[in-house]
Amino acid sequence: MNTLNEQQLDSLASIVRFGATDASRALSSWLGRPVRVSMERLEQVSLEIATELLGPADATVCACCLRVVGGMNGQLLLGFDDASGWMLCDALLSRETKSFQWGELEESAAMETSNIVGCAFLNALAQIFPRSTQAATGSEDSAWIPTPPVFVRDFAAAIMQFALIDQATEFDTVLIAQTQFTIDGTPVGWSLLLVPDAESLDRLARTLT
Amino acid sequence: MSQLRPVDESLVAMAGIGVAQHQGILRTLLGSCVGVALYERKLKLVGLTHIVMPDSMGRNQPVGKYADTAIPETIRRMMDRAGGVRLSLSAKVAGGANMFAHVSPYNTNTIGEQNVVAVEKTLAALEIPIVARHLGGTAGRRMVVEVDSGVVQIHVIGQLAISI
Repeated sequence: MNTLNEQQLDSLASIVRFGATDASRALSSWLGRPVRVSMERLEQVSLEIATELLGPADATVCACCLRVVGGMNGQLLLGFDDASGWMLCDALLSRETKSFQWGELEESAAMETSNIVGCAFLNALAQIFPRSTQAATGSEDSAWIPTPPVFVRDFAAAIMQFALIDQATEFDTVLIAQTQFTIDGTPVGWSLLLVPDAESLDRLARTLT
Repeated sequence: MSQLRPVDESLVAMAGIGVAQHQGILRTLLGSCVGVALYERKLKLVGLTHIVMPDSMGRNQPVGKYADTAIPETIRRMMDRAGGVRLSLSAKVAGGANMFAHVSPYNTNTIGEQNVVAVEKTLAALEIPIVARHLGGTAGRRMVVEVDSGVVQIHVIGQLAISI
């Protein structure tokens, strides 16, 4: 089992909500429309449940993946179905006709969006964590640095296996923070997932004690 | 008008094991994980396991997660289903992709590759021949096993399904 108790999960949930607020601001500015990013769930779930967080195992979904390194290591994924992704592209590219396929421009729009949301989210979290993380670990490395995003369109379960593998090496359940999005008050099928690796999860446990 | 009987189809989850006999379909979704389909031709008996990690390092739970524990456990469950008779097994394996090669922290010898090596080693130790493989690459796979024939179909998004 993983190492966070209920109290630690509550503390972490408050921090993730803080990150979601900053991500809302950044995405609203990027899209020029009111966007709300809210925390949907923060919990430790079995591998079986976790693999379906982006949709049914067989569903075709898209994801932009950023690897996070530094004060915390793990995976940050912005996941969405085709229709939700194309809606984002149409809004960004001011298209009057609806997109219906993924090309270089559409993938680029999705990756840039994930970059903006992901960086805002991570920056907010890193503002809260660094001192306590350093105190808990003795580490000087407090920056949370995302790699450039990678776009992938594949089976939901296959994408999630990649995101989960760093925790699955050590644990039989995984800690997942998942957020949902609304644009102009309307829910859209995007989901931001943060999955710390096993070592970072251990750091979190010490930091949140 | 006759009614078609629905096909009995089961999804084998991450770190799961499925066993079926005579008819139906077992399927699993694979990224870096490796699916191992064991087939007993005479008994029309199939065991499908979804391996997540190469080595249990002495841990015994969950038994379906590791190559060195999942394959023996699948065989044990197949023997239970067969009433304890000796099985003559062959294997088909798929998966072991590195879907995000650009951002993977493992530049060499990825988890997917380690899983493949561990599966091959475990099957060799049990003297089970691998009769077909569909491994590696950067795309996820759906592995679908037809129980009566032992035929395995591999589905990759954007490509035609192939049988192995």
